[in-house]
Amino acid sequence: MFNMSLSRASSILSFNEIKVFSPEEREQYVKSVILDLLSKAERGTTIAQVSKVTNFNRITVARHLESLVSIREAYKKQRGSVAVYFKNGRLLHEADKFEIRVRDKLYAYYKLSNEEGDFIYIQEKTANPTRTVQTLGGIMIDVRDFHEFLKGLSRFGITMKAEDGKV
Amino acid sequence: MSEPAHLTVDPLYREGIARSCKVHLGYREFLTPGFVIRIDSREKLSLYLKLKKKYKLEHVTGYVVRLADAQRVLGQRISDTQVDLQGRFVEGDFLKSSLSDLILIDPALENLYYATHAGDFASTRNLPHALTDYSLSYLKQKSVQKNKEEIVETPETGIRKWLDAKHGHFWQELELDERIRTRFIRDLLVRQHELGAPILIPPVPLITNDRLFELTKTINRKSSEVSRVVGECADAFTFRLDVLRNSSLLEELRDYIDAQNARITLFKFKYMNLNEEDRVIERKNFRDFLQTLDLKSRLDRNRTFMLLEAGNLAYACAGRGFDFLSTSFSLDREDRVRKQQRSPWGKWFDPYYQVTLDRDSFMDAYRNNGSHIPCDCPECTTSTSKPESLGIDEWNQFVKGHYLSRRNKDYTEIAKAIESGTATAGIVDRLRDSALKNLLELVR
Repeated sequence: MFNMSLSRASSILSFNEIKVFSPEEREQYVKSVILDLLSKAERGTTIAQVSKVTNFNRITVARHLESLVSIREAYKKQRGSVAVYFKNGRLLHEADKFEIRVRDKLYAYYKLSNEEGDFIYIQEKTANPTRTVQTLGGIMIDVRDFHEFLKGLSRFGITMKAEDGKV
Repeated sequence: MSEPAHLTVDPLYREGIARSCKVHLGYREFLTPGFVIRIDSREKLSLYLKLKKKYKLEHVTGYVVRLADAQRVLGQRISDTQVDLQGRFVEGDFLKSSLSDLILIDPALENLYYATHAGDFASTRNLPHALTDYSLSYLKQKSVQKNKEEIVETPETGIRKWLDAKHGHFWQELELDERIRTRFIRDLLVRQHELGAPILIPPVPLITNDRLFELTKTINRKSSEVSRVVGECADAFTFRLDVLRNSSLLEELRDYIDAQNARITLFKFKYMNLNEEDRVIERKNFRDFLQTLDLKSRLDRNRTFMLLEAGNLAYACAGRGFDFLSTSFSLDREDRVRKQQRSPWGKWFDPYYQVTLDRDSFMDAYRNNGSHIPCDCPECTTSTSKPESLGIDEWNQFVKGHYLSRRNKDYTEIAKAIESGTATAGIVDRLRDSALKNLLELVR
């Protein structure tokens, strides 16, 4: 299910080394490592497997995986009593991605593919003037449902406009 | 949580081992071959910003500042950045540059090895204690030696012997204690990030033996892990010229480059002058090395390579193996001559001979050319003052402005020549007429 080369695992910082980070940096590091591992595990991975490869605490791994699921960076499938986590799709093509900037927000649109099918993935980010980007959340829409989704969105927009003329 | 921007490469054209590309890093975009100037004072930074605004300089992609100089050069500028009433940054040349240029903060830890620079970190704020302690103890030892009148700069005695031992001990501690090493790496990468560097350079030692080469590889790998919380991180190697005679180490270096995925790898060969007549083996091995880099960038298009302190290779190797090259305004010569011995009049870079001329030699060339400056760069062609009427400050600004706009012109020409498939012939022609004839072996 999960294939991780030893060299990759050996370069991950040990618990002793991670202790030099600030709490926020530690969180960010763990998230980044887990996301990296997820993207390499095409057939998914479990909390136990991530914990084994990284030596991170199981509770920490579980918390980060759930957090990734909540912002749609990952998705999970329950197989019996075990939850298997997958990276949320791969980009179909480099061109299937674009970003728009609205004031201080950045909206990134991706066309993704995973074993469930093809999806439009919209991420909300903040564009930090000090050149870093922070992901706030995201939504996955099945390509087959996208037309309906748009119709609903525009209907909602028209209702809002009628109500207060702001949209 | 922030996500660091990653470097991607759009290859544009190739000719032999030369290539030109468009490199993207977040919102930044750089054309290669790209020239990166080394800046060590606020005045030079102001001049750089002025010239970038005046001439656009598309192939001058940014600047590199040594960590020991960074607070002095950039610190004030960063704290001067203003926001308006809505909290938006007020657009200024520096802010615009810091969001669009390739800014590198070079830890330059090889200076811990060289007696002329080992004290540089003593007066720099916000650095790991290990570095400031090192510099302070060096300065203390130096004054003790001076009192004893024992400063004999030979490898066997005096301050050199003390420095060799101290240097070895310093890196040994980092080699053995992973926690100290990680803290050291983290502190230096965070410092670079605070100073606005979009690409971080690992704090690697000057490689003087196999052990330090192994440590460099470890620091590169660990830095790439630590940089997950900071930004895009390069791989870095700092060698002495003698490495080009060490075929086993070069082989190991090739293996490492093959195995790693760093998107940008920086090389620095201290005090390298391959134009010297007797550097035949070094030139051959360097040429092979360029071919290795070329092969790697063909197999993985997102790999880029940079040569720091390129010196007189800045023309011959532009786009050939290296996508970015860097020198100081004076072709890295100031490292070789003590400040006191230098003339206050800056040297003028002769584009045809590819060497720097002192003011008297320039004036001869100027007079022999019918009182026209023998250069067609924008700075020289638009200069309204006669060179002989320039005071020291104006002259020094002029030679620096000329150097930057000349490099931009040369690199633009090389990029166009790569596009038309005539780069190799063009570079060979230029080198043949220059004082760098021996470098032809690297190109042909």
